[in-house]
Amino acid sequence: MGEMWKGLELPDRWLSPLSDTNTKKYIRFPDSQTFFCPSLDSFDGRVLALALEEEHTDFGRALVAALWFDRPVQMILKTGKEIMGMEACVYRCHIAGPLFTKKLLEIRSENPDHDMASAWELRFLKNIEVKDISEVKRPDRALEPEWHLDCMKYTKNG
Amino acid sequence: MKKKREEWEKLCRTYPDLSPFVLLKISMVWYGAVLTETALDRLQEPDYCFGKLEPFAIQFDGRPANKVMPGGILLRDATYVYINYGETYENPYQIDWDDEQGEFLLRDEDGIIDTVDFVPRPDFFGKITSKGTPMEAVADARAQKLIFTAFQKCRLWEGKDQCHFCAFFTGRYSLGEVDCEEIYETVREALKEPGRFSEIYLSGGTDFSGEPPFSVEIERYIRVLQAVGRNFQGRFSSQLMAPAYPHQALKRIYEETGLTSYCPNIEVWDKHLFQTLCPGKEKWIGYEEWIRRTLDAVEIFGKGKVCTQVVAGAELARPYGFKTEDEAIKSNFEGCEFFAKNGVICLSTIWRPHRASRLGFQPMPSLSYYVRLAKGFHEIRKSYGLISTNDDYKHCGNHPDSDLERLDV
Repeated sequence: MGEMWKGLELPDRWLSPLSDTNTKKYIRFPDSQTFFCPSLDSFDGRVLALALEEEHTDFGRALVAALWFDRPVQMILKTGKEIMGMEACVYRCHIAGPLFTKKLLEIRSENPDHDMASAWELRFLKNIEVKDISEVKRPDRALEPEWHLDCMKYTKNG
Repeated sequence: MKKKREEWEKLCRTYPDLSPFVLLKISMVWYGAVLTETALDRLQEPDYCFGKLEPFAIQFDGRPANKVMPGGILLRDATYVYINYGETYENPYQIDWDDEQGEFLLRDEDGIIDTVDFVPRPDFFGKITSKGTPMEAVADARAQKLIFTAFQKCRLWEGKDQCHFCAFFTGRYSLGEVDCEEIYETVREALKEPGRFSEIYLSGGTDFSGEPPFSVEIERYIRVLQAVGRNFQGRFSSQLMAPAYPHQALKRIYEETGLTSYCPNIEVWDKHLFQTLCPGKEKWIGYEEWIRRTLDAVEIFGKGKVCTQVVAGAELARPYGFKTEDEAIKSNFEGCEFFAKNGVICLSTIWRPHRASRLGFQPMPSLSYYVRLAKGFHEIRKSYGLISTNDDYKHCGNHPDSDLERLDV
């Protein structure tokens, strides 16, 4: 556990495609489950962060297992025909604090009705070659809604 | 002196399917933790600085008078660790601040174990209500949970009928009964911070006043929940931790407020030990009735929306407790299974002996006892399809067994 805490710098070549809105972003777990991951970005060139909409889902469980048991994941970016891959460690789950708030506000700026259960911090480990992206899925839905209370608050406009 | 890291790593090897973070949490609560001066100084800064007034006010002697104690610890997976800051521990973990890395570090005697974080200061701390009360005295906060204590004293202490493991309200500061308007205002203020809270938790010291007994307390909880509810449309994610009320009273609470979950804590499953360690609960409600009312509550709130907890370890405390950990485990598993069969989530919390409680400061059961308990409780509930969305790592954090549910479907 203690060996991983420093993480590695994200190579510069990742920064531009990460911020390109035309880039398609994916995360692949060791069991080959691959999910769309449009919220992935890096705000400081070191830390990668993604927003998890709901936790009690296949995507949420996969992230937890990767963090608990130190299982590296693959982050894949596709811009046009170019595919880039990296191995990353799932480093931290944020349920409050600056990174959490930043990701939440990003999500809500796109759609004020959207919410997010947690933000996940990943750290670059190494570049890898990825040949194909297949069987990509969207996360399933939680059995119960996972809303924050400020989404439920009473307003005079209903 | 035991090497904590070695012991924790051995636990990880023995229980490869359990979260290393949950095992670390159990170890941290068991050994305790102290903050270095550097860490405590960093925690006085605005992003972390908690309130000076704590609604549950427990007395600790080892706290520096000029410093504010922080919120709970968050491990890297957001597992919450509650530490009694200021308790004197024999062989505690140490939490330091690394200025270069900009991170808090958890250390044992041999070096760094991992980075940790703390619950950030909520934006409403430092604000005051329209009546001039600091909001930090009205509500406490965890990472995602907003906590209200409706009655900041416990009347069971009047006749020395308090639970033997309890040290609540032994500190000096208490508001007594909180004001509903101030609660409404505090919730309203708390909701201004985006995504900061996803559950409201209401509890308080026991107040058996009124005829029939507890009627004053029931009316108070209804008033408070209605005040909270003025901030929402319809029901809101919430939990009431209170005595086991009769069905009709509970139905009123449910129908007249936006409450979604209820938690009458049994504290100790063994009947004889319950009667001994929780004399006030026995006197005013009784063991059998407490259980009957807890099961009845499922009809109102639904399966998995009624919880109860055992203060795990108190059943082994001297002089009354079980003689062996195996006997205690057997009793606790029996209780958890009984409740699960009836749709009630039975959780365990780790008993930390307090000098200010009747049981006093005495050795805890072994670390492995708590690991076995967390594993067993989780497995039992899982086998009945129960998942505790109101008392999980995010909405409570006191229960290692529900921290383990994050991989459950």
